[in-house]
Amino acid sequence: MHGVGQILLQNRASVLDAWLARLRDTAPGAHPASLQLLKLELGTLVEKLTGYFLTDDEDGAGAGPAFKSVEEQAATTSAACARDGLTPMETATLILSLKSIAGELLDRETSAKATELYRMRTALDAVVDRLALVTFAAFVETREEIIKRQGRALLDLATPALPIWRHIILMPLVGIIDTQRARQVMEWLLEALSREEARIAILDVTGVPLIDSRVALHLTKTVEAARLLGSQVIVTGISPDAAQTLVKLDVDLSNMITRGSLRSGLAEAFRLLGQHSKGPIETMI
Amino acid sequence: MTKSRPPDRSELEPGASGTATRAVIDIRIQDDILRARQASRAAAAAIGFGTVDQTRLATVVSELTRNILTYAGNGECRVLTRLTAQERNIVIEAEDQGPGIADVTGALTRGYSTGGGLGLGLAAVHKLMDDMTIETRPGRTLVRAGMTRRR
Amino acid sequence: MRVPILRLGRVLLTSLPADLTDQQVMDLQIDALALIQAGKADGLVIDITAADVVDSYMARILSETAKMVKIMGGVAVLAGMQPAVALTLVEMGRGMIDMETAFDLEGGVAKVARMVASRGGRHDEVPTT
Repeated sequence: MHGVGQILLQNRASVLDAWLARLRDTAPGAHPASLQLLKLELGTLVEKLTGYFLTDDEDGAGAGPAFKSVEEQAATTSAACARDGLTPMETATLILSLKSIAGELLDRETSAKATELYRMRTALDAVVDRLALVTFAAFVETREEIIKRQGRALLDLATPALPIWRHIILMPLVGIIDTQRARQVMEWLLEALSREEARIAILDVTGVPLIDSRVALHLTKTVEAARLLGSQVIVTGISPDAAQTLVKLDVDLSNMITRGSLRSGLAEAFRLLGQHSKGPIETMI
Repeated sequence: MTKSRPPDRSELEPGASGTATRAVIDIRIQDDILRARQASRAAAAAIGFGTVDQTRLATVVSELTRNILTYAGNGECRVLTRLTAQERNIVIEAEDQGPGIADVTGALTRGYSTGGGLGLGLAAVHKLMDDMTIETRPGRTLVRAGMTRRR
Repeated sequence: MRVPILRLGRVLLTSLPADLTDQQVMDLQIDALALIQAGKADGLVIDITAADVVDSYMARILSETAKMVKIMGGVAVLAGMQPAVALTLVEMGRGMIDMETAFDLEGGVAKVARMVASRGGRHDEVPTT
């Protein structure tokens, strides 16, 4: 489709301008800086596309190394759209709008016969359709990557273990506790107990929206592991909802020290510490 | 979107590359349990496993090699590692020519034992590792347990 | 080589080395029980700070030793477990270590003292009222 390539080459600037106008319509709320970046991406895409049509002598769309580079650029553009918060709909619309922009251009600029024009438009449509698919795939992939990264960031979000008193650390848990996070929390808590030489850890679960039998199991494991270290865990902030669930599920929490509020948990911690310090070591030596 | 994985070879880091047999330890006496434990810990550290995972692995090796001594008298413990762009993986293989495990399901359940122990070994290995296979018949038993972590 | 057991007043202290063999743990059990039987102590503190692996076998021998000490009228405390070891033991199953624990050697001795005091004092003393 040499003809398409020639026309695109001569009118590259106007195609890009028209496309940018569409972009502004598609995403009116977009930040100027991100529009600037997308403009660069779209410019490169138009360039690659022109290159493809110029080298492609066959009528079949979507083959050859030239098209490969067009696809790659479309994917990059789409990823940029995804990062800038465009919806998949907006992104696809943006790519597909090339059909009408370039189509009108062909109508205007070509002097060829109707059959020739039809062939040109068909080739163009096929290429743009293919690009829309590539775009969509790339968009989803980028979004998935972002979601994965955010998930990891949330997991890595250090759950702090604060030394609030000599021999007492506080660990406030916030957010959903799944198996992986529960493991992580347990590891951090034990390491903090060891590092701070703490005898008591207060685990505050006020910020945990859902406490079911699985979370409870992890809590009991944490309590048991702390006991092996020679420390004790006080769990505070169990909500009425959670208490109802745990009792109905018949979860055995008899080994766990629980207190309603952080304040009463702290009081209990001091009481336990007082017991510890009353050890009459001298009587044994 | 399924992405084809790049071949492992191109992703290797020098010194800690691809699939490798890290150690092969003959298990004949009690000291060999300690040697196998140290070897597994060193291998796990070499491909970047954390302290807790190293401890899990050393414990697993301890259980498996003690089983060899208790039930078969002698055997072999192998430590294999594999490093790809996405994952680090370590596999412990324990092989012996002993009488075999008559009841594998039972051996994985707490409380079952024929060797005078409490039979917690295999059940514990199962809980500490991500995957485990047992091939057993009279004359040959191979327990293979693996741990995989995202990089 | 046998693991040495030290005596501090009425408490036996022992510290397990990192590379402990099965035979050494068994010997330790025998030695500790003999000392308690001889009336030399009321309690035993086993320090496992150095141990980087405690497998099911070792966990069982330790728990059993504690029970035996108790049957003989004494108390036993396990002190100084590493966090990674504690985590591994908990993952292996419930109740792998069925004995009293303490944060470190000092805490272990204090716990023995407390337990002995709460049940009415030392073996070798006649209670004074």
